[in-house]
Amino acid sequence: MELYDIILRYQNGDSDSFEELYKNIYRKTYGTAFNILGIKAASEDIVQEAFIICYKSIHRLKNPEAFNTWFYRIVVRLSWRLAKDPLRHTWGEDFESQVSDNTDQICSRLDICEKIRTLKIPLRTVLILYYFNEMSVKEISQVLGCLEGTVKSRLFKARKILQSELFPDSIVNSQKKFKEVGLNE
Amino acid sequence: MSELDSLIKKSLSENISITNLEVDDSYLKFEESINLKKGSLYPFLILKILNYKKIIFASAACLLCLSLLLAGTSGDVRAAALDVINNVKMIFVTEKTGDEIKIVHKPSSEVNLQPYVYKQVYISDVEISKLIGYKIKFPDLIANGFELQERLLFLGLNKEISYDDKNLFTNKMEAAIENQKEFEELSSYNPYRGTSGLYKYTRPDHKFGVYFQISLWPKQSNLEAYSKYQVKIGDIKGYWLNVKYPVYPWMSPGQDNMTNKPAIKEDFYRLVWLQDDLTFAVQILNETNVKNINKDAAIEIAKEFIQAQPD
Repeated sequence: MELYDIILRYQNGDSDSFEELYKNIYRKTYGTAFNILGIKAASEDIVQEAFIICYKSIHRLKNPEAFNTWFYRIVVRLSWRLAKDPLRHTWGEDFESQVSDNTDQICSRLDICEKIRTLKIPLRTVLILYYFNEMSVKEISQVLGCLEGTVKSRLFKARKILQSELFPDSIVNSQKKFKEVGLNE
Repeated sequence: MSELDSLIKKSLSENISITNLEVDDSYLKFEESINLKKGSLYPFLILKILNYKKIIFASAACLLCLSLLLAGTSGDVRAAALDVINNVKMIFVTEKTGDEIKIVHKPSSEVNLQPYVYKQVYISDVEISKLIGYKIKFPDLIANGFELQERLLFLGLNKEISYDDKNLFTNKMEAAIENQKEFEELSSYNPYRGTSGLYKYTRPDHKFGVYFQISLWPKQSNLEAYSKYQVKIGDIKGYWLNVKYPVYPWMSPGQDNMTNKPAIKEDFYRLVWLQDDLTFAVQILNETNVKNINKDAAIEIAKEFIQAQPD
């Protein structure tokens, strides 16, 4: 496995290997954070923080094969902390900046991503780790520190919500509830 | 793979558009961060790879660079450079005089603090109540549409520890948040647990939602000093406080880098009251939220929360 070799080389003293590791997994790292948060600048911050932690701690990783779960646990925790802390960042809509050429495909993709973004963070994270990071249920449970059953349950729930949002005609007796809410100012 | 699976996979993947140049730029930025953070490590790395004559040259070059830094840069950079030369770790702390906060730069060895850690938990109110020793209920909905987003548990130490020992405690404290055995092992530091519920209201005219937190922790301070900020929450005496607090850049997740000068934020309001030897607070977190939750709204939130509590 290529990643395994790079990590072993770095742990054995080849300092150039860290750059190779960084560039090899940058897209997946950035993509995980961006798909959770939806903010470019914040996602880049998380990439930087995650790799700094990795750089400081990777020598202590006894089993390089566990790198993926170890590293993405860091990325997910950083993303969650930023996601729940309104003090840290001004939230902004960055999905539009990812636009390329084909408008129909873009609208469709943005629509799906928008629906994914409305999922609660635990559901969204499981979805991203499963589909984007292509992790197994077992790996996801190790990243999130929860039972495999919990991962399966969240995955099922997330898919069910997206199914009803994206393919509403396929759902029998689906209803949307609206609440009128207000604040006295 | 079903149509839905393909759609999700494709969308998440195509959502990420990164060029090789962006990856290279990112790595350069990371390398700069690492080289800045190395500090006293950097001469050590040079020693590993260079021969004797080059070691002397490298050390002299370092010293020259530091001297130039001292001569021509901002106060914060000079302070950091002095740290390297004198091998004394200096950190920025805040000292409070009345309502004012002052930033002070002092050796880390002279600083003691009472640390705390927190994490999101996925346990019920009943289980949280067992951990904190007090029956608590976080209503799912409060104040006409605020929905409970997260439950948090935090753990603090009532006994001060030195700043330099802080990192030694962090892992132990994090383990003790939910684990009673680990909690009891910290008993000589007088640990306490508290809990928070984070609420969010999504308004149609508001882009990102309005947030507040309801927190409680064992009573630790005498609020009589804030008598001029007193308000009434039904029959209970409360205090509406504008809290000033330091915001440090992060060194690692959730860990403030106190070697950098913090910014003092003032956009934080807290409605505090005491009940059953506990401190309760409705905390409105930043400027955007403050404009949407004023004192009267916070009092109504507190009243509703109090009414929702179990007997």
